[in-house]
Amino acid sequence: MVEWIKKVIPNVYIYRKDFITNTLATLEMFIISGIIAFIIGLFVGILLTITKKGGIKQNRIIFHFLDIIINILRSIPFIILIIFLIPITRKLVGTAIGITGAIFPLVVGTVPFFARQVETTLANVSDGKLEAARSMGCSTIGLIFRVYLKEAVPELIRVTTITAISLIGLIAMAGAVGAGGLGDFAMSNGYAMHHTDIVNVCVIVLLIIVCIIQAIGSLLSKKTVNRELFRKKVL
Amino acid sequence: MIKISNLNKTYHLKDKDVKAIQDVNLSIKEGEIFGIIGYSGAGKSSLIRCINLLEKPDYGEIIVDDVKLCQMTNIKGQDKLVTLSEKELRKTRKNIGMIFQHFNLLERLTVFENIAFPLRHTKMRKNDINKRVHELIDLVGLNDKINVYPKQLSGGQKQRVAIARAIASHPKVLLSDEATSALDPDATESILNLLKDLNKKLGLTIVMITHEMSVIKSICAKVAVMEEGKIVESGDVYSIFSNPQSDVTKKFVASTSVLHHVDDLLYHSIIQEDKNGKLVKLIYQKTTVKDAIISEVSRKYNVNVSIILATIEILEDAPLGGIIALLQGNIRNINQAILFFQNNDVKVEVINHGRVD
Ligand SMILES: Nc1ncnc2c1ncn2[C@@H]1O[C@H](COP(=O)(O)OP(=O)(O)OP(=O)(O)O)[C@@H](O)[C@H]1O
Ligand SMILES: [Mg+2]
Repeated sequence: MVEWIKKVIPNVYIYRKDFITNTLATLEMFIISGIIAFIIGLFVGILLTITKKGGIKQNRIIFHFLDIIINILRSIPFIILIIFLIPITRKLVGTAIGITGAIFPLVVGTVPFFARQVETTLANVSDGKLEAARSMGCSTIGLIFRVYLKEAVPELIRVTTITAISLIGLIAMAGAVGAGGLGDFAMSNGYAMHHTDIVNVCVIVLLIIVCIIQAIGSLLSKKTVNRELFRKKVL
Repeated sequence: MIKISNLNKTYHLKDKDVKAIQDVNLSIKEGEIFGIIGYSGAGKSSLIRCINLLEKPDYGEIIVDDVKLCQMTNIKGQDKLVTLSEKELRKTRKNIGMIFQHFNLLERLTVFENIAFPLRHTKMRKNDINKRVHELIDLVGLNDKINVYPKQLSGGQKQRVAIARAIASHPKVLLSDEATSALDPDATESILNLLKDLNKKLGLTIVMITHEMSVIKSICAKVAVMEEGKIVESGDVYSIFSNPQSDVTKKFVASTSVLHHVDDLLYHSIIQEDKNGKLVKLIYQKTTVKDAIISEVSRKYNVNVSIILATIEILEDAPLGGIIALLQGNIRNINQAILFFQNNDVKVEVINHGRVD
């Protein structure tokens, strides 16, 4: 086995330690920035939904403020966004490089995308359901959690999956500007040193990660349509 | 139970204002099934949605079960609409159930959970919720569907779930906005029967919005006819429909009566002009249905009466009859016969001079 690896992907074998560290770095960045972006994005998405015209807590100022910021952030290419954010990142976490330095720009790059997806998803919850819940004396918080979020669970899982996959892409890009991770490894130990096998293996590993995320996402989304996962039967 | 005074609501669109409700006054008694009928765009939904303040009116006062949901107050010389606080409003809404044309069930909840929805997150204990939901499922007859999702139900069954959910917290009033409009005739009838039952058993006051005359006929005692945001006529179903005043009401009445086939007969020249006859529509009411008034007229005034169309309907358990007949004979006798009908509580409308081929 080891012989075979040495023969087919010699450079990966030589740099195997770096390879493993960088794979773990990618996963670490993914999990940390993913969780933070999920929470903030969901929150912003909900805010957009309820403050928009005809929403349950219509508020022009909040809506337009968020709307404009999101549009601006989404129109900046990520690679430029990272550079643009360097001074702020430094102020916030003390460094603009490494995993620590990558989290902030990753979150800023992901939140607008995810928030928009959440907004679109929640817009698909029919007004009729909200109206019915309101007629039963449901509060705003109740409408958000018991109607909007609950009804949209499968769709929310779907857009979370899409966002997670795009986040993997952003992490690889962040690697190119010194964040570490597989992107970085593929650039500096692979491309720069003409080690094609390293580039190829990095691509395969990223592909596997994406496939796993997609598979988990699809499964959960399907299983939650009728809440097969956590349902209690009443006798 | 419900009192609406001087209600007004205008929607401001970009290019124009739509006066959806104009000076509406209504008073609905406890235990009544009150119908509001009108064509599309008449403002029925806007009106019913004001009753639980899903829609905020511009002007007017609404009282439901002695609670003032909104009223006009003079602030610094200006009339301002003041509504209940958000919290009070939520409490009041528990006393006003509502059902909709498209059911609006939560798709990711089972029948059981849908019905339990309004009871959760209240002071009610879990066991009591369980008990209440089972009671409701019994009441609407869905015992075998308890763990089923709405997607697996027929329209009629969905509306039963919606009804159970709407009355879960023991409201005194049920608002129904076209609740049977998406259902086939069988399901419509069974839902109407269920509502009638609930009205009798629980003393539930029901406000029924519809554009179908048959719905009003089968369960309402009182009716208001709406057109362009205004109530053009209101009263008990029997008197409104036996003696319609406005054009809209007449159109609604005609829509369900076979008597309007006379127009077809005239159109296809099956009935034709004749100087010696008069085509009349006779509407006779509770008191006169049983009398042999036709043969009496025929004998007394020496007129031939040929009956072309006849119908009888039961409204509020009382008969309402209608006949299209051709009266032939001496013109003076015919006029006297008509006078005799009128003196005997039979409404007479002369349709055309005619003769049946
Ligand atoms: N949210 C709204 N914004 C603007 N205009 C509205 C709104 N809701 C209703 N309208 C307008 O108000 C008028 C009355 O509408 P409403 O829905 O009350 O009629 P309706 O009698 O219920 O009709 P239908 O039988 O079609 O349901 C219509 O002209 C409609 O276009
Ligand atoms: Mg309507």
